[in-house]
Amino acid sequence: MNSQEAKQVLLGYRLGTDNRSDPQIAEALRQLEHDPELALWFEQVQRADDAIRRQLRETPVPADLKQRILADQKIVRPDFGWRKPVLMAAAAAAIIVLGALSVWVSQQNARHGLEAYRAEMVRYVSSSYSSTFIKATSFEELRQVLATRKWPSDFIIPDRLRSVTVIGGGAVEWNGHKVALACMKDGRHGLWLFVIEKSALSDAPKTETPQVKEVESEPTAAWSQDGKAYLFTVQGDEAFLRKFLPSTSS
Amino acid sequence: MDFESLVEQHYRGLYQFAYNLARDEAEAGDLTQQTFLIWARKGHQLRDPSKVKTWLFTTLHREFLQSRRKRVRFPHYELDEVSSELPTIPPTMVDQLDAATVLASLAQVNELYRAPLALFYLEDYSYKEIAGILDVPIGTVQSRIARGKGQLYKTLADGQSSPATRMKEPHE
Repeated sequence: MNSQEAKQVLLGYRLGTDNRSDPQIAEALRQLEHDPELALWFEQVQRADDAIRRQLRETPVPADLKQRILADQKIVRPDFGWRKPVLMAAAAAAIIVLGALSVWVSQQNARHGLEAYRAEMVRYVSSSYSSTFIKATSFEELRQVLATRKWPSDFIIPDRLRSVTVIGGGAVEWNGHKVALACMKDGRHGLWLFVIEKSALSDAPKTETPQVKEVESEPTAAWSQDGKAYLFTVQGDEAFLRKFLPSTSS
Repeated sequence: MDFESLVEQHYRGLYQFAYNLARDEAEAGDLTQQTFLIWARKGHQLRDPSKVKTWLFTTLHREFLQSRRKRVRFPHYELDEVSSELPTIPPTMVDQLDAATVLASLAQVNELYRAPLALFYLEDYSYKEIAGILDVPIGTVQSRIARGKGQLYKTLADGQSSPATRMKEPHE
């Protein structure tokens, strides 16, 4: 490990934390004993970190914030079920069970249905925090990474998507099911294709003809093919989305 | 612990974390209030009292992510490596740092790195705990903190603000 590498490793180290046992960090720490320049650099980093920490902890907090929080709490009805008498809890439970039974089926369908899935996946690509992002420059490369992670990788790419630029993908989970995501771009527009086992959706599309629907102001298309359900969305309007779908889409 | 004691103990840290994420006083206040509101409704479900603080920070971060959806349409790229130059902050400058400068500089750090960096500095969380709050692997936390610190030092050392679009400019 050279000095530059040691610096990069030591930037991720903080005194008193649990990463001292990391072999790279341990090696970088040992190197401090033999490299005065590195030791000086690390001392400066520690000093700077202490100063930054002190200043950040002095970030002013609105004077009335605590009162606002406490006022909020007064209009909330906390569920202190564990404090209630047993009889009341039993009565409440009976009511909940009866009520729940009457709507259980429809709730299950809604939770595991296509509409919930569409909405959740549209929200997913809108998120700025995509910790599961996988960099890839081709569908083949993406498939390999997904396969390594035991995620769906044998999906079918629509013909009209084969000419766009692949930028990567993701391994997403929805209701305990694995969802493969392919991220592409066409010019400045993002394109996203989600693939999930058809059986994961209580009302998956029945045909290969894409069904176009706007969800949360975003155009989406959903279809099924060979046991998988596909969901496609783009950064653009419905006309742009349809450019990538078979002409038979409805 | 009663609700008021819980608020007293954690609202400052939560607000400061929220402020570093949102960079807006009103939004940070809203996020903090919303976090305690959720606690008032669902906190009783938490069985381990030692996890209250982590629960609060996790909830706040999740609320922040939900509030940010729709704003950015592209997933972030992970940078392959830290900038080849690893700046330090001159000792004279360290002594002159003030909260406003640090906050402004932290605001210039890539958004992906800001949350782990804020938790690193604001709270005495271990990397494992930060990983739990942000729902990312521990190695990711470590590398994001290292990269975020590199950007933060550079901004502080430069003493100037630059556009926060570092995502695609790993070697600037």
